[in-house]
Amino acid sequence: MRLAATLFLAALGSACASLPDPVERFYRGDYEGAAAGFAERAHAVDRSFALHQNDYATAALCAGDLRDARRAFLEAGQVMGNFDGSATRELAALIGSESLKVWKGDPYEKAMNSFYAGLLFFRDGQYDNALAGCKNGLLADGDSKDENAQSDFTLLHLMEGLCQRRLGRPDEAARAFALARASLEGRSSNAGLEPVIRGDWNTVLVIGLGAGPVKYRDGPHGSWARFAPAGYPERAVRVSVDGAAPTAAAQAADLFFQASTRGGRPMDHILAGKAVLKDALLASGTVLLASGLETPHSGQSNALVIAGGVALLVGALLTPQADVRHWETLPGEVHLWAGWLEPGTHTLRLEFEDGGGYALPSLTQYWHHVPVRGRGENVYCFRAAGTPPPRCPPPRESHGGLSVGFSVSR
Amino acid sequence: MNRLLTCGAAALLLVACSSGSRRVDPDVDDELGGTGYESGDVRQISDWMVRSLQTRLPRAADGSAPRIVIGDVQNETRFMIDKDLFVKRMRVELNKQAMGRLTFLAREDLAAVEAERKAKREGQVTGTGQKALLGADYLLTGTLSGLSKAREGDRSDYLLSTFRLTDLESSAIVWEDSHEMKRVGEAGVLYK
Repeated sequence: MRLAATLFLAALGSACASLPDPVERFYRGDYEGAAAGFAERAHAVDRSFALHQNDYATAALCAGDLRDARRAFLEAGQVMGNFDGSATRELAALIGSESLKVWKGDPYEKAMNSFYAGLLFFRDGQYDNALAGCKNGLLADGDSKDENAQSDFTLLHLMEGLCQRRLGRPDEAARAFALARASLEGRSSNAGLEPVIRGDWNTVLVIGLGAGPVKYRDGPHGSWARFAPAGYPERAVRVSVDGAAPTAAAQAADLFFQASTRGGRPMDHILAGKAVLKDALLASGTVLLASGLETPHSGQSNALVIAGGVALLVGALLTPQADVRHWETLPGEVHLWAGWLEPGTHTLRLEFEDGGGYALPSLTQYWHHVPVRGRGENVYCFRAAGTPPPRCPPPRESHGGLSVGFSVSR
Repeated sequence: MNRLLTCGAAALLLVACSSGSRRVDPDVDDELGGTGYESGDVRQISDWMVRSLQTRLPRAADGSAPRIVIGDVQNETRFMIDKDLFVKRMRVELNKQAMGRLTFLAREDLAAVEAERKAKREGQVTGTGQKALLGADYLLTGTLSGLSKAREGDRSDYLLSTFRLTDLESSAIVWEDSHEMKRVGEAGVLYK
């Protein structure tokens, strides 16, 4: 018994420890190494190609390879937005494991793919293509049974407003900013975003905090796909320029909120039905087989054994497990800071704080010689490094406070 | 034994042939799907505009071949694309087919042109006679507009592509044409 328990714990430990290497490297802050690992995965062009490309693009973005990041985000977006596919694969995913299907992401993942691609167009001054990214993301986020469903993605409304303003459409910009102010995503107020909305800045920092929502299996035979917030300590960030007093960046996206407010999907009912059918087949198969074996040898007993065997086999092959592949390198939150900086080079210090307002000095980042151009926008993306990777099993009660049980190092 | 080997080799060949890239007709939609612009749409729309423009090609004020400069193509759809694909192909096709009835000005190469002119004027390189830089008679611009809807993973996109030629002296629109299309994509139950 003790041996069995030890083996079980060892198996659980090895399953939990087998986090994909590039993901671990990413969360350690080794973005180049992570990008190389994700590129290797994407090279296979398999059913998870778009997922690997998004991971690769996120790592490339953090590593400062913006050109390649944009290319990869766009390539992933093409797969996430397509409709054609192999009918055989889709049938296999319906009957067998859902994870056999081509990964196209959940609405919040489609929205973030569009946001990042759009942001990189915005950075290059291609405001119309950046706006296209916002429209595509908002369409994905507002996608529901209700045709009039309104997107509540603050970050995308905000960027839409900035693009409309740059394209010389003040009325459209005002409409988008009004939607950004009204999309609270669980926050009490979006007042902190006013410096970004005002537009009297030439530099904006897009800062990713923590890890995105963790998708995990729950329910009978793991047929329910659920989201849990990843545990991470940093909940706020302050920015200091050239040693001046730091000012707070404002939260513009809470991705756990976005992932968990989507509602159910038709596939959930199919998986639930498959779970019930699996149980029924296994139970009836066992009964039939036992009856057949107990019945004296006859044609009837043979039929019972065969029927029981077939029911058990089909029941065993039926896979009701939900597909829980998800974009593991997404941040949990996106915060924005905007300000006017004199053209030239500057030193930026990013100071992170936990949910109680206590400083997390081990996460502090210094960026020296950051160039600021005199014309156009200066857009820089940062990511808090040292956040623990999404854990297995997922933390369920750590949202909103300091998580314990992991170490943070830089 | 030989038959077995042949069958094995054929099977291996089939497996080998089932992956990799292949050359396809750019007019035919690929299996990647989507409801946005396809290569065939770029070709069809640019061909449409070239034919339309050729039939109503204006003259310059002095009666000579008009000089056209390519302006911006505004993307108002939800698709992030290389919007210059359309005008690039229009320029190439018009240059091939118009047989000198129009001239495109390469304003994107102006810095290189000016550098070469300066080097010639200063005698650093040989010159074959001085010419004035040409001014443009017309500006070619375009707008890609869209109306998109979504419901439970399904998508519908109406795309209107308009191009026009504007007189750079009078601001009159001397030519304009449009192309419209609608695509609907239905997501299977797996993706709803």
